[in-house]
Amino acid sequence: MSDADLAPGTAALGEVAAGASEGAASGHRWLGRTLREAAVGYLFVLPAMAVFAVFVFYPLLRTFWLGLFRVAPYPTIPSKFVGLSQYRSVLTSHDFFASLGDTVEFVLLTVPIGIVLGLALAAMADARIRGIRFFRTIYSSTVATSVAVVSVIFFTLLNPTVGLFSYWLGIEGGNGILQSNTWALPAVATVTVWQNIGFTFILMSAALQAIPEELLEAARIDGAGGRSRFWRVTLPLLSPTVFFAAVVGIIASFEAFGQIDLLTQGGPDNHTNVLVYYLYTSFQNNDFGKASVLAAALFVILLAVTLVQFRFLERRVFYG
Amino acid sequence: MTESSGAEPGEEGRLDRRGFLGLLSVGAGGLLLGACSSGSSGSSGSSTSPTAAFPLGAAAKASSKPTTVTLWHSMSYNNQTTLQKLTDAFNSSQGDVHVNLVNQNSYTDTLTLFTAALSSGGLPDLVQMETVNLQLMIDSRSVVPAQKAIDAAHYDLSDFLPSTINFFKVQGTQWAMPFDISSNVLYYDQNAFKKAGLDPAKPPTTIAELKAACQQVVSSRTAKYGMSLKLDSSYFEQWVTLADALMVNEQNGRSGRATDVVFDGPVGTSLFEWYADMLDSKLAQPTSATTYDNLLGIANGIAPICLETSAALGTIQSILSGGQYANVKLGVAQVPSTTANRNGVFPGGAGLYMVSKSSPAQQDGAWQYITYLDEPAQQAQWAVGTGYIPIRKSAAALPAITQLWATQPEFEVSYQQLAQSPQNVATAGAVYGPQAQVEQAIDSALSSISTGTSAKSAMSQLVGTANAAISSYNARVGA
Repeated sequence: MSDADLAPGTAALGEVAAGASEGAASGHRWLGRTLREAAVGYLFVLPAMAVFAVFVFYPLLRTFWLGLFRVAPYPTIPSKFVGLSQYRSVLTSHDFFASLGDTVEFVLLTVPIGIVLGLALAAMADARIRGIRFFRTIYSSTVATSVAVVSVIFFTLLNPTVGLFSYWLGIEGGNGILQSNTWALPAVATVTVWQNIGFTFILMSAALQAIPEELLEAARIDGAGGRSRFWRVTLPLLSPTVFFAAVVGIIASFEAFGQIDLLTQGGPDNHTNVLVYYLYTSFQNNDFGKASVLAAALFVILLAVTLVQFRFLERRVFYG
Repeated sequence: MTESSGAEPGEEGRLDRRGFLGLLSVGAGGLLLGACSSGSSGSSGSSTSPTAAFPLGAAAKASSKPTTVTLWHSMSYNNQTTLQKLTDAFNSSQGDVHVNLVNQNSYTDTLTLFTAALSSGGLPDLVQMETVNLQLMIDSRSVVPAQKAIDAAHYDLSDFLPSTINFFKVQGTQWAMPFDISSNVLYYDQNAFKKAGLDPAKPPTTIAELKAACQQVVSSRTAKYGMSLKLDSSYFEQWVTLADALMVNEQNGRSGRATDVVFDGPVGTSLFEWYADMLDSKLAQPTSATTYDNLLGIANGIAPICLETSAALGTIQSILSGGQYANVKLGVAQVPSTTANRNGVFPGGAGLYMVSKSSPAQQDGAWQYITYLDEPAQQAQWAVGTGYIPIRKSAAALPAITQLWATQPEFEVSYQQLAQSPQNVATAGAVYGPQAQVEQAIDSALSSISTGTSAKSAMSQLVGTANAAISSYNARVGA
């Protein structure tokens, strides 16, 4: 952007500043000044809000609205308004609860383990030893891989006929791990944890390095051992990051799709049919009304979970 | 009718991703993720009303020539090359019509894009749709039935393989013209047969014989399993048909809109028992509906028999000719029948639909192109280039085909299987809206049998899911 492009904007800013200082001078114009300031503020947010309105808020409201309709598989056939009955029938169905159960299980299998492993790796990589950069690179490398690539690699490894894992375990042929009712979901969760560990590792490493050395030193002088230093100094100072990782991780786990689509397609026998995948298959069956109900449910659930986290979990967070 | 009967591994169809993974598994992986081109369409202006006669000859009378006709297809590799050759030949054979091919990657993507285009515009003039979508296409109210053109042109269908025509005909109306047609066949390793003391020239012809063959393979320690049972609905559907039973009511949806599945009769129930028996006794290994582990089972000697679409034959042979599996001598046979009394099979693959939004000249151009593709000479070229079956009886007598079949008799099996199928409501195949959804439920039920659910409870759960899908669909289309 050239200086000429910037000029009008800068001029406008100058006027605002001038207006503000004038307002400060005379008290009775205080209200006018706040309004003007607010207006300018809203003006600055407007472009972003416009984009959000078109691409987020409108589709969001439309999703809730669409849930009230029995939508025909083709737009050439009119949709029928059915009110809340579609919400009721979809959200009380056995399939929905089964899917919700799978989702919760998936979240529980991925988020806590992912955070603990990421934290453990970060703590180990915090050591000042030779060649630690090499390990840091390795630990964070999964960030650079896409879900699709990871899934295809693990799909091949876990394949019962030609996969290495089946060969090592001596269970060639028949149903493999991904075809087992018991192991399919844990396997998908493991792949997810592996994929996400690089991100958690980077988060935790950055947080660890941001902890002031003086605090740990003071603790050491006070006679705190390694373990007590970790639990009483390091961890409380890490808590905002852990909290952030938990919130983001839970949302990501609720929305996990790629690995499920590529590894199990919701199977075997719907044992990995998490909410997002259930929603996706409804879309695939051109049942947009049902898909909208599920999308709305997913939104409400995520909103509730996030609010609860902020309400209760955040109390334990220590913003140093 | 099903995914696997319409596609060969990694070559086309709904199985793009599956084929991709399958190929990766054998280390022959290539990136099949072709560019997803959005279709442009010349469709603009006047469209014909549903009751109007077919605008035969409109392309020749068009004010500006040539009329552009856009075809959305899902063919890749050899199939795409062959289709392009045929299309080029058509384009240069006359000056009225020019056909543009747009590759939409997979049948699923094509359906998604077609549905989207119905409201947003940009429809093609011709679309290649998988057999499973017949009722969906009828319900979309966006198709000119081929019947109109057939009636207007007095087009003769007598030379077509009846089963390929009958599939796309519902209550006397021909909705689409058959194009890439295949069917499921039995693949086996002749060398393993010999080793097990079985006659490679006499593959099993019933599922009872199939079980006996598997027992012999296992008891002679030729392989760990007798066969691979791919937990895919298409084989179950084929066996129901072979026993002259129906999938859905209203005569398989041919006499009226189907409201319930009927495959839970004696035939379907005993088939589920047969699956449970084969899997429990470890005579068959279950393989996923989304992979080609069944074929790999033959290659690496885990299980020397399996069922798969005939469209996979070309790919299998090219993999085998690589020399990595020199110990395998491939045999191909018709699908064993369910009982000693053999009915027939329904076709798989896809048909070509004309779009009603297109201008009269484009509709006429689309029809000219379809009839060109379906001529015996072009069908012979198509079959030789792709491995799909020639859908014209006279094409099967042309030298190109007779030579192919003489040197590689495996390619003839699928054609004969369809040609020998008696024509009745069972072999016409089922037609109902949520067919893809019900087929997924069947996959799921078979998979639950493989993990220990009893055949009986798998069936009752399946029937519930399937009927709910059908009634939801019917309610949504207002039927």
